[in-house]
Amino acid sequence: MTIKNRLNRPDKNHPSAEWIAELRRRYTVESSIDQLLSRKLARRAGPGYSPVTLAQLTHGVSSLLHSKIGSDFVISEARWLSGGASKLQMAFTLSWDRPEVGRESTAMVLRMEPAESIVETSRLREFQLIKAMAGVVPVPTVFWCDEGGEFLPYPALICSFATGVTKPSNAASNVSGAGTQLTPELRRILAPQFTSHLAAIHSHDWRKAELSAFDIPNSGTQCAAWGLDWWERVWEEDSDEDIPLLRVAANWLRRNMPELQAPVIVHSDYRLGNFLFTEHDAKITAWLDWELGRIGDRHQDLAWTTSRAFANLDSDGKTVLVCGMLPEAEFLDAYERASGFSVNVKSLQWYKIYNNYSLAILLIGSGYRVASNGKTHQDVLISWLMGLGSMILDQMRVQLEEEA
Amino acid sequence: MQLRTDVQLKSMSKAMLDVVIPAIDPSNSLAVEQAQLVLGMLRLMQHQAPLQYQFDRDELARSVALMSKLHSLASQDASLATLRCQFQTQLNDANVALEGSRIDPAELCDTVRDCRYMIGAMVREAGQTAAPETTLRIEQAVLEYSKQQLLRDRALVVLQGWEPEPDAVPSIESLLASSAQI
Repeated sequence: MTIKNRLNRPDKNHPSAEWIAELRRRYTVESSIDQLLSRKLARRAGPGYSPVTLAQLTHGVSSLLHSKIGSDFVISEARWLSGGASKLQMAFTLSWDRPEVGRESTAMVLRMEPAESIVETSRLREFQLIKAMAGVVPVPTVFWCDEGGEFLPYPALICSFATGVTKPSNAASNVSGAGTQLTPELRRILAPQFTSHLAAIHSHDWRKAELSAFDIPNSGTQCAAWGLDWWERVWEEDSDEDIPLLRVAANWLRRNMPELQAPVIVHSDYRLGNFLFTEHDAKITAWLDWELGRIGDRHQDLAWTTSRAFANLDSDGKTVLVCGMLPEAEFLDAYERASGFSVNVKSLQWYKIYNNYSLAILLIGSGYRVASNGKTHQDVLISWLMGLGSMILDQMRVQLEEEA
Repeated sequence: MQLRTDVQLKSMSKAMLDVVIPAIDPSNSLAVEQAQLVLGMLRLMQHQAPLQYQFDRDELARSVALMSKLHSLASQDASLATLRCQFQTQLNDANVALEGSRIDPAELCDTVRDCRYMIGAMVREAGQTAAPETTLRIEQAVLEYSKQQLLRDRALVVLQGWEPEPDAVPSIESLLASSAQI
């Protein structure tokens, strides 16, 4: 008997119904998260990602639009968009009779899942969240959602094309946008918008919005527990070799779960690289990548945004700048003034460890699983990003040692 | 054998750089980005491939040392007795693998993974059932082990450019050489 057989590990590439049921019993997550993770496992043994052409996607979009607005439209200028590690994106122009506007040509983006993603998320949740943010902060206008992949090869949504850049045209950075250097002038204009937008998101009264795909955590530790169970379950589902440090982190996180003070909309990936701005006036035109958003603890965003993974050093070589823009103390102070919320240091620290925990899991565990099974349109990017995992884990190790 | 991995990877990198990338339509941004990533990945493999076997053996040696320590720590808590027996079996296997001079690189890799699995199981089980002081000692041991292991993990991919201070990370060659006497 080989060692591998003796340890009796599950075959994660061919998950059994019993194993999926066991994971669902063991971990308590939001109902829509449970559904999409279960769907992921049920489909895992199926085919990998098959390349699709622009013509195929255009046909799928056309079918979706027929079901939504009839046949009075023309799709043109279809082209691929790069950016992001998880979803496939196609830009196109739609000539149509837009309600309350009239005949116009609208620049659009199709955002579609691959066969299995580095972050398995719900297009309906993303659709609802972006819609809820309209008028609160700059976001694309969302139009239609193919939640179950009824018209397109995989689940997708369609939103307006927002103009702008994620980094200065002449700036160098790694593929995620990490390490982007901003000039002092650009920082001076972007930083106040960056801070006030986060405050606006967190201050928004989400109870009036249509957010039926989200569960609302109670005021105890349920929010933290749901988040921890979510990522621990993903690790069980996706990982290949175990990482004992992640087990230590899970133990610590479970022992120290913070209480939720007030549930707010959490973007969950609020950083440089996930907003567009126009270069001539440095005005933020759209906040992107809402797919991991949830209703939860504002400290999750604050901890994510202030992560060293997205930080840069100032020209003095010493001062750490949040997302390359401003020192952490200044950022938190400005956030408190703009939002009226206080920052709880213990909650912030818990979410810093939680965020590194979840980031390491998706980079190393999910990244390995989807790339080795050929599940995405950019497996080479997913594989490349796995290399970032070690640095994230080491940051988390230092944080855990500081808490010991 | 002349056509080994190093020369294959080197030739593939050159083909990408000289032929494939210049032929890509610059307006196809997805293709341009992925071609550059392929080139970076090939160069990373050229660096990693000669070190892979040595890297895994290095981790196994330190995993065995950690498992011995955890085995001893677990003896102080009756709730871990069952897992400790499995632990002992895995530790024996790991020692055999470590000492085997002709072990297949793939089996070496599998044994490392099994050690990781059992260490992870120990930490998880301790977190759920063991006395708090035992759990904390186990976790502390894993933290110490992780510091050394992650330094090697980071050094192995430093060429990717993620490290804010890459010069502060020792070379993987020096790290593996320094622990070859374990």
